[in-house]
Amino acid sequence: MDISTIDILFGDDIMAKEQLKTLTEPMYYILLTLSEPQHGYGIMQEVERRTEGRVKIGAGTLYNLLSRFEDENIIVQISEENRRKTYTLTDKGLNILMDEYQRLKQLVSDGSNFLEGRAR
Amino acid sequence: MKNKTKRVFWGFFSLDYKAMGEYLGEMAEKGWMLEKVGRYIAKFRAIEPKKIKFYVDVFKEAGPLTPEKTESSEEYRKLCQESGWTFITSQDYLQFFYAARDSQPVPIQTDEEIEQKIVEHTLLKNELRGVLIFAILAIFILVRNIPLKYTNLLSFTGVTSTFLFPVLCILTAIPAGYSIIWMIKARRNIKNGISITKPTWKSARRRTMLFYGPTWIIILFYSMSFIIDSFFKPDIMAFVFLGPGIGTIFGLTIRYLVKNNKIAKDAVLNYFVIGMIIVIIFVQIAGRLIFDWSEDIYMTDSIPDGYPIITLEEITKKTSEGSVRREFKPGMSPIVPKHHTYYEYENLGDSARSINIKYYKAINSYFAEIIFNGITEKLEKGMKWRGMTIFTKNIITDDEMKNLWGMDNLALTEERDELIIQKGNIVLHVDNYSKVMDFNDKETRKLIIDRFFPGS
Repeated sequence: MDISTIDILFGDDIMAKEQLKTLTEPMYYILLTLSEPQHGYGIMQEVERRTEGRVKIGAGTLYNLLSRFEDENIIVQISEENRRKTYTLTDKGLNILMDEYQRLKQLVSDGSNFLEGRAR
Repeated sequence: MKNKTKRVFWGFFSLDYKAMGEYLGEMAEKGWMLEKVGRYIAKFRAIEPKKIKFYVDVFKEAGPLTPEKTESSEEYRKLCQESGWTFITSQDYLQFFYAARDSQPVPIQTDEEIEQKIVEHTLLKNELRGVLIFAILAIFILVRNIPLKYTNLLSFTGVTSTFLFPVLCILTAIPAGYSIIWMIKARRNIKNGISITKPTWKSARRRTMLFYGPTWIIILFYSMSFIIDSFFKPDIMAFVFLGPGIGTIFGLTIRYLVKNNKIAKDAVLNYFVIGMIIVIIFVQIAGRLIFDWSEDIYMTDSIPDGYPIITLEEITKKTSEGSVRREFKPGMSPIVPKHHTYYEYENLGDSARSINIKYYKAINSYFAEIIFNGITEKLEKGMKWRGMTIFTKNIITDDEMKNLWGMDNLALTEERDELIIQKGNIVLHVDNYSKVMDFNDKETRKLIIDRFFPGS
């Protein structure tokens, strides 16, 4: 996780003003999962399923990420039942996710042009 | 077996939270399951010995003044529960969970950088805040007590404070130092992509004992000193204890009410301010009552053997004509095993006469000299009252008189109404305010020397 991500989580440094430039892998998958409404444990299961067990997010880590995402208006709570909150992405969150997707796509594309050329 | 419980010393610094899980696992294998954790004591209940996994997490929205159950803590614990960790109990920021040994739940924290930041913002901040408050208090006390004050040598509490308080200050630096080292190591590990160091529970215990062992010995010394001093000065000790005692009870009550959701966390500051006002008013009223009560406790008609005094009758060689009031205040300390104040006041209707004698028998002449110098300095400085300095005295030394009296040290006020003399380990301070004595008189000198410095 890079420093800007951590500072967004704790919001106490100048760096916090710089919005998410890059997402960590767990953050990316959490936001991806929240493109559809989902509750906390559902997110954990969905991330593990989508990554085939490669990315696992602990309950404490997830709780901290969700509460900060909510504070930063990246996600929003849409319902609560039996202390189980359901969240979904906001427009701001969707933009951040799309930006990250474009960035990752660009990385893959650049890597592909260079590395596949070398491989040939 | 079902209801069998035991309480054990919970010897961990909060920053050693990673070592706690291992300790709890060993306890479960011995047949003891954690039930509750306090600051110093943990409660276990008997179970069938089995292997259990424990996880101790730091929850940033908890704290010393946060209820045990809040909406956010319940949500967090439910999330942990769903991921396979069963909540047991909490202690401020620390949350205790367990899982069956054969289950494979995902660890509660999977991002150590986030975890490290949480710890810095909670446990570390809390630890350093406590040390900072103590440091301010310690500096205030040390500045007041340096250089050595003779009055501190006269009571057990004073002697304990003089010699053991600096040790206590050094001991308090241990947790602070450990916190800072922990932070530096954790940051370096994270930067290098290594896990935060997990101490063994035995090394964590050793570290805690290094701090708590000597600290408790000092606290024990303080407690014993308070008790012994209370026999000699019950009024002073009651007054000294009144503020901190009531304040502590009040603080613990507020904490209990907040923890159990009886009062809102946001209202703590209001309760604190109201509480402080009540405590100050209470201390004022109770203090007055204590000193009213204490007016009579030192009054006496007879003096125990072994405490030399001189009465007004002996000085004036006349029997008392008016009403006489006598006060006797004995005291002892490890440095000055015997000291007392004798005050006698005789009301003669249109006039009055009095004598005030303070006698100190120290363990050696070094401390006796400190007492002698302390008394003379105190007389020279006088008293501070409403921004003014009053009752200052000019002290003179008279070598001829000193030789005549055969003393190691002698000082008297310019008005010759107070005399301070020291020989060997004995110091005498005579307050002759009503001029019943003439310090140049041979007979008076002989009376004082024979009575207070026998064998001189």
